[in-house]
Amino acid sequence: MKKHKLLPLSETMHYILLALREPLHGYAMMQKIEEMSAGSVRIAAGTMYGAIENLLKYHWISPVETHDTRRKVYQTTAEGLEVLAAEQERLQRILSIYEGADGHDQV
Amino acid sequence: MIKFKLFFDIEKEEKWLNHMLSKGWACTNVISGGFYTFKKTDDLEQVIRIDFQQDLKKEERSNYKQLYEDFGWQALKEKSYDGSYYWFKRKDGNDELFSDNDSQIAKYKRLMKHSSYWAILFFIWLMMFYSNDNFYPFNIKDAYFTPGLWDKEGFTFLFSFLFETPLAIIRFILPWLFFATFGMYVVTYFRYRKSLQQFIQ
Repeated sequence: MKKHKLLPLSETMHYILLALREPLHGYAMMQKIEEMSAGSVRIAAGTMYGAIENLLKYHWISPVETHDTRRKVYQTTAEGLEVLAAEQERLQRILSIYEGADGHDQV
Repeated sequence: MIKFKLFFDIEKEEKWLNHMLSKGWACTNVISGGFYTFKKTDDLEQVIRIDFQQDLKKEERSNYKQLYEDFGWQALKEKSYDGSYYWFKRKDGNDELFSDNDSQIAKYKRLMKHSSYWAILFFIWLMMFYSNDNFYPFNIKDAYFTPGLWDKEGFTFLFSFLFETPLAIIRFILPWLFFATFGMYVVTYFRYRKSLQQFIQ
């Protein structure tokens, strides 16, 4: 299978997909991600806009109808959640190596 | 104050605008063709950034703008005809438009797509208007092809002159437009390569 353009997920994409498990607009996403990452990831406006466009293109997130007519709100789709699940598995494998599960010494 | 300056490199343009800001001149408008208007400002703690977004439809544009405004950016002008958007804000430590390399690279890709499109188009037009007998980019007189035009006098001269002027302008300006867009493409390509390398390291 050909590797997907967005995989493995970049830090930005990863955090956005995780943050959008609940519906949020762009700025709220940035705030949530800053909180989730304990202040280490602060996504800038252009990066956020581009990431949203990209994720929409692959239907990993979708717009949600809201009362706010000016700001678009998005949420991770079922497809996006599948991507997250696959990424979780991949990262867990890596983590288990860190923890010495493959018989080598712990890092 | 109005200044005229041409840039092939969007990063150099941004640097120059920030340099002007640091001297107390805030850009108030950018007119395509290299004209910038400035007004005096006391607020030196501002920053200006240039984004490039091609062909935003009306709804996409308001969505794009709203998002940037939420992040504290103010648009320099309402509309953009060439796809460049100028954003400024007070410095607060989050003064970049892009926080990862992917999105910075994506901006260069959009710019390259745009400039290569125009360079190819101008090249095709150039070939259509090209004549082997005259090479005209340095002297607009050579862009008039009417035989003996410059020996004519009075009304016949005026008539032939005015008749051919629009064509002559097109002939004269096309090579320059081609070189400008091609130059823009090349410069952006090197920017793109450079940010790719940063990415690998």
